[in-house]
Amino acid sequence: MQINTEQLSVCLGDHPVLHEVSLSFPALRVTAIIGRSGSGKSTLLRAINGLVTPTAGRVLLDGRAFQYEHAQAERLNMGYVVQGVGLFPHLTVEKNIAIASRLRHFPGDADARVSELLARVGLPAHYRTKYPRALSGGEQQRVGICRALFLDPPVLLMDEPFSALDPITRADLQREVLRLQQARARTVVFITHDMREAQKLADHVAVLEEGSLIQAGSAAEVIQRPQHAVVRQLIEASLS
Amino acid sequence: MKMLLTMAMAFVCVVTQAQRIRVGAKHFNEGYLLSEMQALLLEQQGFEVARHYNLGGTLVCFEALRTGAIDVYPEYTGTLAAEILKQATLTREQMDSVLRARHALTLGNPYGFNNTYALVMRKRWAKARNIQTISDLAAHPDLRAGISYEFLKRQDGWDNLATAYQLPQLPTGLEHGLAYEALVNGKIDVTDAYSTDGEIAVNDFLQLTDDRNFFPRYEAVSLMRASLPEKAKTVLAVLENQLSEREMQALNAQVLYEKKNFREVAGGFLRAKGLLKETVGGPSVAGEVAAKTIRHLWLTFVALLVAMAIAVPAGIALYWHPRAAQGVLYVTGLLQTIPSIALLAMMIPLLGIGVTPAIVALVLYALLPIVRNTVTGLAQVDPLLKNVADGVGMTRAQRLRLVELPLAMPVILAGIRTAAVINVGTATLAAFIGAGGLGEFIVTGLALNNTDLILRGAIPAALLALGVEWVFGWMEKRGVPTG
Repeated sequence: MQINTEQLSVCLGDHPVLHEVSLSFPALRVTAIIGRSGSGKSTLLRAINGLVTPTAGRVLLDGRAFQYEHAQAERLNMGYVVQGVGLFPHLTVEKNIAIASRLRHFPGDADARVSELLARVGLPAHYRTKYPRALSGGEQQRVGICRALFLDPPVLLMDEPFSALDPITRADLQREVLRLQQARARTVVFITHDMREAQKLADHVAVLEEGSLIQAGSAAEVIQRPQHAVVRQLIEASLS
Repeated sequence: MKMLLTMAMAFVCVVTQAQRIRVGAKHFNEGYLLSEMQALLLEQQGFEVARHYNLGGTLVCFEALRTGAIDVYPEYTGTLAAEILKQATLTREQMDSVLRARHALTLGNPYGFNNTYALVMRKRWAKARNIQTISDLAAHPDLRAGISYEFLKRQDGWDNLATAYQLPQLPTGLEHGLAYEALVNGKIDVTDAYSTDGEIAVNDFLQLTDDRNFFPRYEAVSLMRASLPEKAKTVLAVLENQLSEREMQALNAQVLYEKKNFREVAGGFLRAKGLLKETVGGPSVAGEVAAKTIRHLWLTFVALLVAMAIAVPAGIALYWHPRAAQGVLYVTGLLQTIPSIALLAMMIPLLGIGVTPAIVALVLYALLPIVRNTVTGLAQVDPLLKNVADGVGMTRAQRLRLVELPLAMPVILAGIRTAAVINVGTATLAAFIGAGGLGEFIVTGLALNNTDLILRGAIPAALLALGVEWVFGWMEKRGVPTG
């Protein structure tokens, strides 16, 4: 599924957070949104799945405008992974992963789907009855990814998914995402402030600064030809 | 939940609407004795009798009778004239016609004794100061007057008495049952009394002469609804001229000093007079405690269920509309500050006496902790989890059901626990409006100055409160796993 934003602006209260961002997220490719803290990255992601409503502009999914009045239904097509994971502490691993089956009628075999996902992210099958608090941070984020992929959505949105993890676990999970993407390609948008992570995972990179898009292109292109001082700084901070 | 509630409401209705003769009693010794005589006589003639004893004072009794919550109770002519009809000069016949016309009530003939108000003092103490009449008090402004709450407020009470006799003392209010002990122990020097009180003879108190004839006559009569069946009126009429002042004092003393059950004393007197054929035994203590405990729990939990059914949805609504929350929490907080006995009294004109007003009052008290904890519990759920719940595509209702309510449950349960404990305590006061429960022991015990009786209600009530704490604590602990 191809995602486009057209002249997308968001104000939270009186405060402008995004300013006329026009971007294209190619289908079946991984795009990284990168920028400093407060540059509007999260807001852009949350505008794509309708968690915030744009003040102006629109979001297009395969050329069709996102319907904010049916935001819940639209979100079922978009897996959502966040920093801090946010597993529901009162539900077991399997109930967390299969939570979407309780929101809508799920046509398939939910148990089988949970087993399949656990295997795919390398977690043992007996984890399904554990509660989140019994899992390590990396394991929790693997479960978080399983939950996002339960309905096999065409889009996966990830908001700084690995930034709270230690470097080794982070590298493991980055490889995991790449493997998942090779096995079944989907449109992935993820947020990072780390240019190295962007380079490793993303085909495309979009750089935000103070709510505006300052550069977008293939990862190689952006890293080799930064067109803005902030882009240069981000590259230097991560890669040098 | 819904079914339980419907059942509870149905039960409430059945209890309050059953057709039988309901006998009321003021919460003091003589009130219990006279009411029990009425009840025993009616039962002997085949009537089914519901006893609504411990009604909190004249106005509560009269309101209960007027609104049809009870059918009959013993009243005093002087009290009727001064307190209810506000015309102290009426004869009994005049009162009867006024009561018939205004309230469809009627008076029986006097039982024979005059239980007037009186002021009493320690005899030796009074002699030392040469006090014999109420007028003599005016010369002793330093003596401490401890006056019962009811007498302080009455038309024929302290204020007008003090004006009539130009008494300079500033009285302290206290419970009638406790006043005698205070007098014996020298904590106060003068108190009001009923001239038939058993304590006067036993403690050798001096009854001051009413030398200006301030107090009207207080003849005990049956005050009843005019619609009472003629047969029942005839049964009650047998008490006419059966009780002298000395007999009444003796009966009162038996209950107060020999700690006999008032039911046995009333039955024994009627048998001795040949008015009752069967002997009346006292109820078994264990059975009575069990019955009252069950009633107490029942009151508490019906009120708690109703309160939960209102407060949890209200808490959810306030969580969704936080602007309204502050105002609503303020109002429920105000309800909480109304003294329980005042709230119960306010219920009487609206709902009469008995179980229904008691439950309504308990529900009002239980609202605040549950509403407040529901709002707080829901608001405290980690914003990250709310964000994720939205992000995976939950609607507001799904988010509430699947995420917010389960995670807020320990806090909501804590609110319900607080409400339950408050209710167990407050339900003891429900006895004042005839709802029964363990409070009956406490109120009767206070009126009779009978510590055994007070403890018979207070200990199980305290244990209930602890038990409720424990059960809810256990539920909270093994409830929902968190974080």
